[in-house]
Amino acid sequence: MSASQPTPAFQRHGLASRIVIAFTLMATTVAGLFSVGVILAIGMAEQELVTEGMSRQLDFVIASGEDSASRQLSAGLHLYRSGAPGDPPLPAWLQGYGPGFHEIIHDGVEYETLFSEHGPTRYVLLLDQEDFERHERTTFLIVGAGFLLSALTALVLGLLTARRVIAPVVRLAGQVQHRDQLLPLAPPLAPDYPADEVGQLAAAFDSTLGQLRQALQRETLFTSDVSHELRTPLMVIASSCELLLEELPVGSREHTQLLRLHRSCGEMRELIETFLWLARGASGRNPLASDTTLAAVAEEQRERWAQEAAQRGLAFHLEGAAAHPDAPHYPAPLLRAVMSNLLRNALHYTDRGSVRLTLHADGFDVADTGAGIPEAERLDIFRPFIRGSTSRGDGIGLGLSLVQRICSQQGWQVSLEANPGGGCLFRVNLQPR
Amino acid sequence: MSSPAPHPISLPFSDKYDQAHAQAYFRKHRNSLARRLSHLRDEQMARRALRLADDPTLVLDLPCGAGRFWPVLAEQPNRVIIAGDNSADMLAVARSNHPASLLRRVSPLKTSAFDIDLPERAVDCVFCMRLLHHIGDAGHRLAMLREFHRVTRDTVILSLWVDGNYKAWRRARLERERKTGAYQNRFVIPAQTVEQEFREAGFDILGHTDFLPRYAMWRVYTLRRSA
Repeated sequence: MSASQPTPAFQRHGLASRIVIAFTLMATTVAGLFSVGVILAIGMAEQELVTEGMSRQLDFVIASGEDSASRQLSAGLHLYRSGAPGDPPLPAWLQGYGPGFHEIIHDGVEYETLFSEHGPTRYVLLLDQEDFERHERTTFLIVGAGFLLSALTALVLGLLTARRVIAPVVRLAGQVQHRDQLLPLAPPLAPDYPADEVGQLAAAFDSTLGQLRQALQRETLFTSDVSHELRTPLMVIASSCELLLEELPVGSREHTQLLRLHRSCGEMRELIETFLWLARGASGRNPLASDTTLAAVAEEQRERWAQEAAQRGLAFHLEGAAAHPDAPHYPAPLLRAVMSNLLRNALHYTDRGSVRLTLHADGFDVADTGAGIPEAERLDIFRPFIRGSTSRGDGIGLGLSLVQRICSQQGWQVSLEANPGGGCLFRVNLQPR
Repeated sequence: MSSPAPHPISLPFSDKYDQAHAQAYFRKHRNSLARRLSHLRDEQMARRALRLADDPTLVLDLPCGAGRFWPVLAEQPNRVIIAGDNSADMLAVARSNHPASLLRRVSPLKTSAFDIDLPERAVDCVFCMRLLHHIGDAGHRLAMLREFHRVTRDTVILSLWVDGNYKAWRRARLERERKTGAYQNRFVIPAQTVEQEFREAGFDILGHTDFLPRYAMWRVYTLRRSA
């Protein structure tokens, strides 16, 4: 994931935590709504029951006789009467209310109060709310505990479900990583999973990996077949050249041309070795021997290209370090392939001026005075089959890609810059860092 | 690119496993009741470690010895076992002691644990029982762990002797009493040291199981390549 693009909040959570969050949210919402409903319903029902009971009680008291003066009817239930002969007046805190239900707080105690008038007589029924409040508290407690319990259950269930659902996906993801490197005798993935969506995914991976493996195998076989099959005819050509060379007089035109043919044959054989080596991949088990120095290869390449440069009217310069006794050694075919491709490329794209090969302690430069490559195309130039917009001739664009592949396998660095005097400057670093 | 060491590490104990020794080794784990019980516990620990490693399907059993753990490894029906051992005799004996149905899923590979003859990330899991306690030299251990890191795609399961228990304490005391510098081929490695070595070789520790916590020295670790 790139750091420059912040991911949306919902994507930051893994699938598992999203399942847990969804479970818990849903459960808390539902349980919360239910709790509120239950509390409201209980509250309303209790209010209804209390008022109804009190009305009935008062009716009963009034109907049962006139001797019912102010007294306590039962625990928490008081009756006050005033207006009848001999009745004391109502306490001050009960005065001033109209008929009906009122909630009155007196001395810190809450009373549900029913006022009623029968002619001149006033009845007041008081119900201590203490019990009611206690009930209500218990109800709240039970509902609250139920709410918490359901949220907790949802969390646990969510965690369990998430683990159950996600575990196979996580395992599959782990198994697929770097699977192309696994030995071919590895069993397929699909039998490990039930035939559900994950099983289908596993089967899809199996078939894709199978195709990938086949394609890789085809490529490797193709390269090694081609390389192998080319060797024999090349050997025939090379040996015939050698025989002919012995027969022709040295210095004659035919001899010179045959010599070139013979040399090209040798180069081709080396190229085949290089292709084979590249096709074997990065297994690194059979590295090529480091058997030559930079200066030796450069000298050889100068011999090879100087004549062609002269024919095209170009100057060819070889500059830099002379052969050093303890100079580092490199695999000859690879270094030769890199250098000759860069030189061929330089000669090919230069009409006038010069091609310059400069040696350093840790690499070399190839500079030309050709058309150069626009900066936008410089990165693309190393991809196979790509040539600059000023392409020409019969090259098929593989040369620089081959250079790039050899360099990346060897841990060398190749870069392309603009030559200060116009044209291109290819820089190869054989010992980066 | 790391090239294999010019001289692969070879330790003296690895030469003793000839045909007769191998047969004896195979029988050793099935003659007495105590051995059988201990073998059952070994299998249980292996099972747990394999589950912790997400049930790998391509397992390199190295060293496979007499194939003592093949039945456990084969319990997962979709698993292929590569049986690696430094001794061809051991491999032959192992193959002669198991039914053909099991052997179909076992490919033998004669190889040293220090230079495994497999490419990079070739197997899901390196399953290495009872080898690490033979290796007393930290450099050798690290070389082997690095080799495991190269060959495994995902996990490593290994068993060894650790300290922090009664047996290790008694062993240390006996050694002090004897005070002999005689040749040893089995070593107790402090848990902290070996865990540091695991991390150094590029592994995360997924978990471990003790044979008998606080008493026995055997411990099975499950490791995963660090991301």
